[in-house]
Amino acid sequence: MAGATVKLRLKPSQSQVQNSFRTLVVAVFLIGTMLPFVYAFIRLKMVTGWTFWQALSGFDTVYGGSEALRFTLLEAFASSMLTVIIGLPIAWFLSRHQWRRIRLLRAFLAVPFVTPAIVAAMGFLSLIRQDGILTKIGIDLRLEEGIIGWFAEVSGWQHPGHFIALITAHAWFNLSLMIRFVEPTLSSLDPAWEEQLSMLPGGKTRISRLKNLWIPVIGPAVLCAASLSFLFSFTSFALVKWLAPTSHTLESLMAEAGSSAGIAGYRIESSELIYSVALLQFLILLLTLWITALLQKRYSERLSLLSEQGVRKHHGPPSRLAKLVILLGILFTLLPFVSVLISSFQARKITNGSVKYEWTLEGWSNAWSGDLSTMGVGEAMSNSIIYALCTLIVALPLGWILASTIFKLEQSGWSKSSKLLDLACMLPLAISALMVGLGVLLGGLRWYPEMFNWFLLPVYPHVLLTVPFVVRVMLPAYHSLDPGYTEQCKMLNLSPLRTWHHGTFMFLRGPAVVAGSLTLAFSLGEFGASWLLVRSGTWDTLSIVVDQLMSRPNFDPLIHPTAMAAATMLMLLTFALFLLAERFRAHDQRSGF
Amino acid sequence: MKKLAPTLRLKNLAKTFDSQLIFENLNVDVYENEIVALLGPSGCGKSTLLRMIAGLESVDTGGIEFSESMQTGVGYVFQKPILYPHLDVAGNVALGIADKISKKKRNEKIANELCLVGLEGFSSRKIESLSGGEAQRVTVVRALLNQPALLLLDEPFSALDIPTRRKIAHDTRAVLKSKKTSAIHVTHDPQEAEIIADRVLNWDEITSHRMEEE
Repeated sequence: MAGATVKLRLKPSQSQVQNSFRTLVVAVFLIGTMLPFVYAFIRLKMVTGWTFWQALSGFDTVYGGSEALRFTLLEAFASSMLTVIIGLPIAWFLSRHQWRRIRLLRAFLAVPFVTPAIVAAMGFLSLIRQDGILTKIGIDLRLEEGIIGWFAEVSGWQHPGHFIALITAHAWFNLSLMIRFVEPTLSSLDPAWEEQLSMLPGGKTRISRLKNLWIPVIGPAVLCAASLSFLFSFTSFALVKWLAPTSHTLESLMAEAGSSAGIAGYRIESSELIYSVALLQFLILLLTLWITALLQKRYSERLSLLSEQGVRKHHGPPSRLAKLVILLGILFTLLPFVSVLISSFQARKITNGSVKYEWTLEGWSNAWSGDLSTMGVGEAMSNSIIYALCTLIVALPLGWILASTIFKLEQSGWSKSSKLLDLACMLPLAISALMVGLGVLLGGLRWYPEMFNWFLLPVYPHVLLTVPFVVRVMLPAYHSLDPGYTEQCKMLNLSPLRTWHHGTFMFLRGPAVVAGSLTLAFSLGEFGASWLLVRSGTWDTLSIVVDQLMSRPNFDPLIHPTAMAAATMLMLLTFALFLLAERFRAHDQRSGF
Repeated sequence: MKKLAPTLRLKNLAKTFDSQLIFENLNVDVYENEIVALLGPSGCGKSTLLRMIAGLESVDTGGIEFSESMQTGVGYVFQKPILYPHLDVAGNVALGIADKISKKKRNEKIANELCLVGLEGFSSRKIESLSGGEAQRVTVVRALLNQPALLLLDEPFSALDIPTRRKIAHDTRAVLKSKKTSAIHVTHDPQEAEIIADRVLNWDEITSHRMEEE
């Protein structure tokens, strides 16, 4: 009995070792996240001679700053509004009926979120090209003729086509956010809530039900998805670069000046721009994340939720309207992918002054073989996979340990510390991919310049950018762990390792595969940070190759199909990983990432 | 009791779910100011019947006839108290007020109604702070606020402990009688049925088919 009592508790030395290890991991993560930025800001401060306050107040003197801020705020706001307008009906009808193959439907509508930004940009570019699907149905967003031209003339708004393409692409990208946030609440909400209200005077009309039930119940989730959509649209880079080339966002402004910033005595205005814009963007993103966290807390509390299956059965099979809305949602999701694929087999041909598109496999063979200035797809893919695997090896255990530390702190009653660490883990999201790349670039120059000769350098920002997603997947999994299993293992006198294996690991395998697949997918498609940090042609990733191909002069008719073929390869690779993640996603794990 | 024309007449009602017959040939009359208790085991179709009367379920065969005096509709109290957590007690009760009245009058009315069921000073209480019995009292108050001609009570006290159940059944009867409201109360507790109802009907007596007990 005495022996059993001793084994029930962890020995103090074991516990101390575990705690020290956790502290070390947290410290490494925090230093790894903060150090490049601290160094980068110290460097920018030194080069410009500006204090933090001067950098912020000097924003309006930065060339193009105010205009870029206006455009960024406008496109991010319009994008999040459009996301709500398109996403809410889809989420509503998806959650209110008994659909066949609901998991497949949900996974399909979530694909855009993990699609590499450069693939999305290519998808929308091919949709709006001269022979693209949209142009064929009379919506010419590129040359702004027909209905768009009429709209531009009536509204007096110059070049609305590019703006419309950009916000539609952002809405497409963020569609799954709306579904992931709203659908779990709606599809599990006790139908009695609705029925009870319909029996009362306060719920007799649609408006009163909207006011008394739907807005309070799904309003916070909608706002939460909208604010995250705002955040991702605000920091979008590849889509802005390709779909709105005549306009600048804060992100694209920094990208342009990034390579000449941080060098003492050389183009000081670039350093001033980066310093000022980065600070302002950081503050805006931090504010958005804070609002999102508040909304997330509100939407996740106090609802009477039942089993999804029961609620769906209660609502019954989908109506015609529901089928139509979901079909349109699927078409909207599918269109850019199909368009990229078709464009990879079509080359432009000019005969007798008219442009025609012909079917060809040359784009694919060019993409595969590469040429003197651009790497072949096979080689770029191997680089992408090496970066993604290295990112996985570091980010998955790091995020897992961070999630377990947050959970451990919560369990020990250290709620403030756990919240603080949770927030710190989300910091890279508030910094944006490009800013992470800039931080590593500028900070690294001062800290350890030799790192720019290191092939694996892009892994660093990839790890910083994927850790928040690992934490967000693993933390809810920890919350749903039943402590009874661990206690039972201890009662059976199993060793600490076997206790962890049977009581924890076996229940976290699924979420770990989900987190791992998402890490691989995000790393494969990462563009902003890699674009800044890839210093040698031999390091090029698939995303970079697509960008390089599309940046070439367009007189060569094979440029377009070659870039689209490379984009298709990247798209297929990401899909395979996403399907793997969905395969292992628990039935009840539908919210968040 | 003087029998007038019935407020509600259920005539040869039948219900089938997934091709399984739940009940058939169900016949019940409920009169003005009368409280009827339907006594039956779990799963026999009592709640389905109430949902059919409320219009939440379709009627397969037979008919549901309301008297012309039923201008003010039907109230419904669910088995589990449905109170919306984004509103406080007063906000939840206010959902039952049909007329547009000033905020002051509304608050006074709510406070008075809450007093009737022993919930003085509960207006600004949060929903999470209520016990099961208190929450169910709030739903009864809310359902009666618009003075429905008929109140449907779907085993509303089944989750409460026995003494609380008896006490609330007493209080509910008193409120129903003071407001002259007809009611159908379904339950599987014979004692509760006796306390609340003017007339207790056994499920077997009013139908010609009963599902096997779950």
